[in-house]
Amino acid sequence: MLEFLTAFAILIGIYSVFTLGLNVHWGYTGLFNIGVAGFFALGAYAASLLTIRPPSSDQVDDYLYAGDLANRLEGLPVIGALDVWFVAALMAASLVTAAVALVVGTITIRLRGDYLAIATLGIAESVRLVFLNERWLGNGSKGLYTIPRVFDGIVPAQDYDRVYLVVVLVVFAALFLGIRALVHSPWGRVLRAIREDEVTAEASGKHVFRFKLQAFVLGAVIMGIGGALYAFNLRAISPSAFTPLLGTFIIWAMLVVGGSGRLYAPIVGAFIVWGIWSGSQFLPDPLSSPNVRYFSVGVLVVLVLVYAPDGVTPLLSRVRERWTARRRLRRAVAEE
Amino acid sequence: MPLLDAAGIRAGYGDTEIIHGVDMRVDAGEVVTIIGPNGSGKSTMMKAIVGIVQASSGEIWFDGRRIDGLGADRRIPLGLCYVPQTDNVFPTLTITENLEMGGFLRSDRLDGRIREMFELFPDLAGKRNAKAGSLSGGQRQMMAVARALMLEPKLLLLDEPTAGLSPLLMETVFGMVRDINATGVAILMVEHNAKKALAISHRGYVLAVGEVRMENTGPELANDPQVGRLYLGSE
Amino acid sequence: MFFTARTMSSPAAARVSRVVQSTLAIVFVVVALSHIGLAVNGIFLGSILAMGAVGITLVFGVMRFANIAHGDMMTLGAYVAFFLLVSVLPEHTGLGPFTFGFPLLIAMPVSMAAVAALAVGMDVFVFRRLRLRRANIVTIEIASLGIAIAVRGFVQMVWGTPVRYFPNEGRAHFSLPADISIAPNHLFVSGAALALAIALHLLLTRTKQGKAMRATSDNPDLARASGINTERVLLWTWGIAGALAGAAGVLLVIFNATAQLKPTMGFQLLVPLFAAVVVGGIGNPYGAFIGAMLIGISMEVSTAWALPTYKPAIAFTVMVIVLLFRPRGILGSKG
Repeated sequence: MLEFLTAFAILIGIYSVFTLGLNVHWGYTGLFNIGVAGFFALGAYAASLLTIRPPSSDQVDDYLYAGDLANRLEGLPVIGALDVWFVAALMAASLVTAAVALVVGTITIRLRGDYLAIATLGIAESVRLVFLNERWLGNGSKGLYTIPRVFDGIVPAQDYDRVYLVVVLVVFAALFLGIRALVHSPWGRVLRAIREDEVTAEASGKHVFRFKLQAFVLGAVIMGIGGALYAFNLRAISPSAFTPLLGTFIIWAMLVVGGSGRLYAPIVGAFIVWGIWSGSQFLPDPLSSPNVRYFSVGVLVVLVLVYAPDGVTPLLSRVRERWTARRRLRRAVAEE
Repeated sequence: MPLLDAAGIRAGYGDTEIIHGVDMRVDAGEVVTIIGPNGSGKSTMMKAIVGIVQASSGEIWFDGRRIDGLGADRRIPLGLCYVPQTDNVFPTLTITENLEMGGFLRSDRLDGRIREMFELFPDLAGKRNAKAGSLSGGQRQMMAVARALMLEPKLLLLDEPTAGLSPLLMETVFGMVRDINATGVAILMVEHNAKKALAISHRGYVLAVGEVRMENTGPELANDPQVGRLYLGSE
Repeated sequence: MFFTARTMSSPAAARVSRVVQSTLAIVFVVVALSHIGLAVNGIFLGSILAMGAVGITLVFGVMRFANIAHGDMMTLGAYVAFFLLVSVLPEHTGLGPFTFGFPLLIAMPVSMAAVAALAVGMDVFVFRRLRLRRANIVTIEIASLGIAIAVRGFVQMVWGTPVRYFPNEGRAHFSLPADISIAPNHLFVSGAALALAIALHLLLTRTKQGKAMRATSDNPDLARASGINTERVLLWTWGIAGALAGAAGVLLVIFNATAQLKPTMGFQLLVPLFAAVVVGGIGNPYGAFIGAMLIGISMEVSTAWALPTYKPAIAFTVMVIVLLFRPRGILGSKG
């Protein structure tokens, strides 16, 4: 049970990172990206290719494994409690997604919402097809599976999950605090102004395109980092993880359920949606099937959009307010 | 009894109220012009009468019926047709199809009425199978008015029918307004070209910041020095 | 896209753009003709794409949003027909030269009706509520994404994930000169698609309701001001788009030599479908038809060099190239 909860918490942490990135795109800036899976895949493959170990002699796969950074850096001192190669992998994921997002964004960001959606969907599918078909690059449909453990050699393998949970939480916390600071900064205010009324923002002298591009790249980088975290969790990735359903839709479901544009939405949404997604396997037989999951999460998204368009987070804060009000009242009554 | 009688109309978009309690009336067979500076609520008043914008308070009576609770699609069949200032034709439909759409609510055959429209606007007759999007500015305005006339309305609402037209075409449009009025159709129009519009109007209203500032017969408003100073420029 | 507007403004640049466009068109025709067998296949694939793309573009015309659930509506159409063929209708295969039997001619219209009903239901229960709340377009779009996943989940719950097959029997291809070999089913596919396209054309240009659909797509405010009940027009549009999606789903199954059904079959076509819509000029049904042919032929001809699994990426690339020179698509001219 503890193992399950640890694994569950790690995935919530990772999905919160993706949703955080999507919140920067859609929640704060209004960029309709339905190609999350593309940046997710780029981050995961960049981090993995940099660090995978060479296949052992009985594996005849001849794909690019130039990485093996962990071994190459063995001679280097570990700085403090950090694995240098792990930090390098996160940076590689960030750089690759940033570069792709910069190119894609420059071409597509001026497009209307639905054109941007089609463009991002097309790019995400193209990225997936490249990793699926170019065996020399990503070992095709088998994917990459010699990804090293973080803190390998320092932490025993059976404790990896618990240690990795801490790693994920630290990365998430850093990103979350960074986004919170940005949202409250003048930069964040400009983004909100653009989302509310682009024409007015442009008229008041803001360079809308530049702000949107910055937000697009920032969100994509966060998704790339999420991809890297995902790769080091299972330590095996394959193109089947980056389908529009698993790589994009579930993250949109999290953002919508949490309440887009709200700071805590990524955590709340990831918790609820991933809870339904992975919790349903404990249900009695016909209900535990993954097909029921697809159906129910799809319906959930539609219901939330129709009946609670601001997501679940405001409902939670309302419940909390009512609670504190009731407690205050009770205290007041007691003091009487 | 007036054909159109609007009293205490308040309306706007979302939370922004643009007109604040406007009274307005049009008698059968009249031409009435609304003038006023930009943003005074002229177009909003027209839209509130047609039902494209819902009035938040006030009463609108048309031809003896109260209509302010009805949607636009229920008001139009009563004989109240509207020509917007811009985007007032269906560009990818042919002229004939535009007219058919104007007569959408008629259950009888439209051929006769369409023929009448081509007689009234001979310029359009030669282009009946051309797309409305290919028409020139003046023809497009004719097209828009013809579309609105398909239902044989009792009251025609025109929102700046001469906007963007050359002086010569303006004369044509005002001539057309007079011709249509001569067939017994009452007309309520918003015009920037106030002097010329008031000259052919029975009465006029001056709107400013969402309120009626003056109401008088057309010629008198046109010659009122105060109106001239405030709203007609220095001519 | 954006740099077109900027760099193509001078007359000289416009001339260069025209030259490049003509060159690309000529290259396309030459390459297609030099792989005529593949290009013919592309026309058949294009006719299926057209059924889907026309529906997407009609809905876009009146609602201004790209329906992401369209691919999964096609999937549902295919599975409804599968259900009828396997469980309800008499068993029969090999009608004339085709692999399927006469029951398909009954199953296909029923599928079309079922998917049309689903589409109308989607509007009544989801999109109308969002519209009345004046929800932002992207919210509506995400709702269609949710519906897409729910429909696929439904298909998988009922019929499972393994590949299924329409009852069929093997049939010889027709051989034509120049290495063209045509599966009889493909003739049925393109014939049915052509018949539906003509029916739609007549509906849009000859009937009052069809003209009202075009009018609403042109200018919804003016349509309302003319007394057209635009809500009813939307339901008609959804119904027609749904029926076409149902037909496209069934045709997609018999297009495939082994008559396979997979729960992802429709969603996987979404990128080519959107590409066809955009290439043709978004909102224009005739454009969608042309766009679908262009995309279908490009996808099939590309298999001469590229792996077949790259087909969606080819569709996307063609879309980007067309947009570079014609930001509003081939037939999209309105501002």
